[in-house]
Amino acid sequence: MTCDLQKDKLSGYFDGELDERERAEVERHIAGCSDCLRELGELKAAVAQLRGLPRVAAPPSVRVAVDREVAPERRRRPRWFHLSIAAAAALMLTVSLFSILGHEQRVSQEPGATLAHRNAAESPRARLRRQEDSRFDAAPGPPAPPEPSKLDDEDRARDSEWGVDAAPAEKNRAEPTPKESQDPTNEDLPFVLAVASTDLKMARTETETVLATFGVKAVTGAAELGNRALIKDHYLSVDLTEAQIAILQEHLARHKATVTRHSLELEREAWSRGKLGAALDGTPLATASGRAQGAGRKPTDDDASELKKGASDEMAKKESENPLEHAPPAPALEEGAKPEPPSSEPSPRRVRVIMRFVEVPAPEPAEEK
Amino acid sequence: MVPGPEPPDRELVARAQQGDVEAFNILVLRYQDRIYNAVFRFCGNHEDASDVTQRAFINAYRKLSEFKGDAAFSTWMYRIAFNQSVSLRREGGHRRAVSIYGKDDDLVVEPEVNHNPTGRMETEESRRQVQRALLMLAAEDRRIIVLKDLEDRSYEEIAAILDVPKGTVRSRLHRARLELREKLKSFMGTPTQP
Repeated sequence: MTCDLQKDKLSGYFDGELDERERAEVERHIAGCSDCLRELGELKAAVAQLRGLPRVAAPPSVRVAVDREVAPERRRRPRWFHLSIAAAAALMLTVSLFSILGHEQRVSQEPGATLAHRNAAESPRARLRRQEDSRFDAAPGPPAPPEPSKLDDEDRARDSEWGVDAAPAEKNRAEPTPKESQDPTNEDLPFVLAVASTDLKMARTETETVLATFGVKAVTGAAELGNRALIKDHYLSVDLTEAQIAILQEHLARHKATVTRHSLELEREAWSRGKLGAALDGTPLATASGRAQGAGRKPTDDDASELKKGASDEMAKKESENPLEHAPPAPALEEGAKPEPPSSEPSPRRVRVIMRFVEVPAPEPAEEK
Repeated sequence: MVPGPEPPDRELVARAQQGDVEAFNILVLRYQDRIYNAVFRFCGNHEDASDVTQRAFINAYRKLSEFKGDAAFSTWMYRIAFNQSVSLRREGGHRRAVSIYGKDDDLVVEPEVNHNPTGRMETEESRRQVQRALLMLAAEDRRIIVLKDLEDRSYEEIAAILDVPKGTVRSRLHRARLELREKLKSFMGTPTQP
């Protein structure tokens, strides 16, 4: 039989791209032409080998490079925009300090509290640390975690495995803070990224990979929590730009590690209640100031109280549920939370981030009905 | 809080054209893996793939105003990415494809689960030969193979990406596949029929 089939129709037939008439034509032809049947088979085999090539994902460096180019476009806003953001941020910081002071006064009136008389000149950070200590003294709950100097070899090994600066808490207290942390931007309260994964080691390794891409160093992040590091949950403290945080969240999400963001205050509250074993609810929690700003009004102490109550209620509600099941994708970053540096400043502003890694159990397979 | 449905490309592009950088970031997240995979298989190494992918998205951002929406955003991105690959070659950025002999396992999205070490080695060697054969094709043939057999684009979309008639896609694709088949035969012998 002479073969008069237009050969590229074999590819069209294989790809399902022929119309009815052409498909029928090819089927009739290959039923009687061994050459074309063999060629079709070889074509399928070659394509199968191609489709056996594994897919590769873009490395974080792609996103970093794109963001570096695209992000400067954001800074080409008029000067008045930067000034208004700076003014709003200064207002938020002032209100936050007032709300902290207000809370402290309420705590001092609670029975059983043993807070000493405060020196009005005491820094907010020291005040918070002392408040945390008093909560541990007053509230019944889990035994206080051991002092970092008593951390066992397992934890030191974990630190060295990370390749981070293993700075024991007492060393942090004794030695003067490094120049970086004296950057006024880092005096702002950090927030917490809770990384929940069924594979804690993988989550930490992936984080390390991304941080290496950024060229940033991480330290054991117990300082902001009153120098108390839990044994099971591991903390890192690192300074990142908002863009880097987004990249990190996205990268971890691709590796099925759930990343949620919440205030340091909520973290401390969870700690005092002994609830840090479970990942926190994935609901993104705005700061009181940020929430008020979104509502178009000045932030007040009521916002801070409302935030705490809402956070406590949500934690109590979600603590027994599978965090992986309910955790949403990484939330979008809030814009305008920090003031932009002067437009002449080349490097983006970094914020202090505390990362907490939590291993969560794999979800139970769904039962058959 | 239950997240809402993700906005369609058209909406994100419109917002990005109005200056919404976050909308563009979502588009990057959405397509970076797909574009990177295509470029990696076309160029054969991670360095070039990384360069090209970055440049493609940056160019896309800068030329957003030129995107009229008559084609899908993905179509536009593939076109930009392959044009960028060609530019890189002209600049002399075509690096020796050393990484196909090295490990790219850390970037593999769908690692194969193979508990047979010998079988796994044979599979990896087989994959390297497929990639090598692909790299031996002319750029025009390689591009169409990547778009159809690796990225599974339709003939219509490939025609839009390459700016050629749909009939031309079919004939070029068939020719490229025959060429690839010959290269594979020379490496591994006749491929066995399924």
